[in-house]
Amino acid sequence: MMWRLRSKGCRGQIFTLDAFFAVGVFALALGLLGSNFGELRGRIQTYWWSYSLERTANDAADALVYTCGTPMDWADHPADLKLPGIAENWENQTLKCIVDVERLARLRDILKAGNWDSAPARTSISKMFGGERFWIKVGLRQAKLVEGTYLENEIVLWSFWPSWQSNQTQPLGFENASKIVVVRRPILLRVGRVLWESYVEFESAGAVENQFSFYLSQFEYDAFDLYLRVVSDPDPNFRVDNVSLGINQDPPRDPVADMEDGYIYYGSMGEIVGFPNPSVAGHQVTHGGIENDVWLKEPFAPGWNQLNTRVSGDVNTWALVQLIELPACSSPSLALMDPESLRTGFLEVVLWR
Amino acid sequence: MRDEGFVLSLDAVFALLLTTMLIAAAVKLAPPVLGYQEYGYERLSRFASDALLCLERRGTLSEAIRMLTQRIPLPENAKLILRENLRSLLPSYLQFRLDIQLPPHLQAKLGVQRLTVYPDDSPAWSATFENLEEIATCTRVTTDFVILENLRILAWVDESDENIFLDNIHNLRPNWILIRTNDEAYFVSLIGQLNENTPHVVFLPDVDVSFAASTRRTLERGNRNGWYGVVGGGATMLNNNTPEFRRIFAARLRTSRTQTQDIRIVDNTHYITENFQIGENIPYLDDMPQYRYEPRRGVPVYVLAQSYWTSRRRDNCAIIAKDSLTQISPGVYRRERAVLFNTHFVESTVRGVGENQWLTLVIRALEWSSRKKPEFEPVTLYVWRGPHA
Repeated sequence: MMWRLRSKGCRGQIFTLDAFFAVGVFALALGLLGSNFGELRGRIQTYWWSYSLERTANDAADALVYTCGTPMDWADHPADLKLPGIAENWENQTLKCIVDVERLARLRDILKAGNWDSAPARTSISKMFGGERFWIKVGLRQAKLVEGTYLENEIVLWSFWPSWQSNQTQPLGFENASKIVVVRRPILLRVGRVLWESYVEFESAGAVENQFSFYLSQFEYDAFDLYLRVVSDPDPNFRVDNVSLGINQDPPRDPVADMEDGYIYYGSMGEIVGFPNPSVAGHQVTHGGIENDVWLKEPFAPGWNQLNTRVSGDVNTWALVQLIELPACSSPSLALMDPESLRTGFLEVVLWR
Repeated sequence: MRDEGFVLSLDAVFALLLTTMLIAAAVKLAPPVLGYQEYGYERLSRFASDALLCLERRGTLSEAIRMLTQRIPLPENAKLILRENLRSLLPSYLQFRLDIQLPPHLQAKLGVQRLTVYPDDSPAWSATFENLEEIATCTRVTTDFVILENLRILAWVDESDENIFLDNIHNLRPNWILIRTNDEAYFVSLIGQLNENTPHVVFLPDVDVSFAASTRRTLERGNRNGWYGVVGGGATMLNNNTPEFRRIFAARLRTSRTQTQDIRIVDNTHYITENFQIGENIPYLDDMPQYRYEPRRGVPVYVLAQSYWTSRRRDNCAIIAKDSLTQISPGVYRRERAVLFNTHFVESTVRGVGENQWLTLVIRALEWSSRKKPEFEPVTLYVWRGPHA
């Protein structure tokens, strides 16, 4: 803006043409700034939103993989849960970055539709994740050198969010999210756990029978699939002849005639075989484990169950029979893996707005 | 005096305008900032520390170091398992470098100061690593490298030949402390707890007595706890064919037989059989028995030599070395070592049949199975964001 100063006796103009130009240009600049201000404010807001999302996701992931939760034994008493943590506990020592399958299954159960609304820990869990828009994924990740190339393979074993239902693949409203933050952590985890096992080694040819009775809770029934795993020697000469596995029945004697009673492993099937198994004729169960095997007369169900085994073999042959639990709806091929050995994997905490 | 002038000139207005426009343009044209870049370092550092912790807790570091400390080191195999595990733990958009500092004796053997592992074998990684701007680092200390101490050996001696054999060992290893006894109470007092008097190795060259159950249990417990290794031979197992001894040596006695043929080396990659050739015969007395042992399944054992049995495959073992690494809790391991000879090497040595070979094999077995002192070396993991080199 121009302003000609006047001293005593001087005459002049208050506004010049220059001043008009200046005012115009100044107004233009102000307008420009004004139009950008909204955008600037939006950007600052987005920054803080994403910062808080990032911060929350990071802290939640820390709490999950670095702690056993509060109280430490919350998996045995889910109603007492104050803050969830899924790290393994070994003689009161927290094993950071090793995920405990039991705690994971319990947390999933708490978040399940029907349980979540009345969960005592709903408020504290929601605070931990900054609301109810969160998604937890846990899986295996393995890189292997095959013919000069590293093949990387990921399998999601556990995936859940508040009020999840088995027919959903992702949380409601997730596809409309305006901002998504994913925090990933490297972890070690076990594929499942062993409920019962029996090792048989023959010093002379014969047969050994075993019986195992167990109570299957509704929680276990929902969270896990049960499989039978038979392991024998890599060398076929030291494999047992057969292992008969009776599911709430006597061990079957014939794979076809007694199909409703259970499964039969034969040494010719290989070193490690899981049951039910889509590749074993007569029990083409693609998921869901023994509980979902419609070919059985009395598949495992909540309540008391019985497994009856008979192992027959020649001298110096051996077999290990295991009843294992795998995450619900996982692939039957997982039954071939040693369920309790530590494997590399990942945990993802997904938050969105 | 005439005071006349402008408070603001047209030039100033133009300057102001230009500045304002530049600021506005800068705000508008600034590249969008990615969430990852905003919080990248925190994430990187978490990945580095967690991945290294996972490597340790899974036993991968121990396994890699075991490969490096074998008689014939396998650095490429060690690199492979470390690389596969790190690629499994880290997402593909992260790259890494892992450095394991080697102890001096391995530096001399391998000709490098450290083992370095990148995501693959490309030589371009070194240059990439030198020019990185953002990098997260995490260091841990490994105790998996070990050095051999002057050994303290507790030997059960109940025959004069065994004393001669031990004298021979002492001549070759004058710094070793050899405690000889055939007093079971004294024997148990030395192996029952871990203190400065606990032996590094319990040597049972040819035990002619059956130990009391409490002695057997104490010996098994000490071996299981990693307090000492056990080296046995002769009729030790024959006179103590019990579950405890079967667990200690990871073998089951099937039978014994006088065997006119020698023992043959079948694995020379092991510390015990270093400098022997595959198929090399170890002369043995014709009139002394050899025992048929069957290694236990599910326990890591090395069969280093075999007898000339023809009928049974699994019973051929003449030297069985058990090397069981038990995971007490994730990241904490206990090493159980024991060596069983299926021969009466004392008599064979004293009567001059295969004297040098048997002495070498037994001394190496005592060294290998001993409790050893850890050597501390740093392991460092660097993680950065970027494409493959």
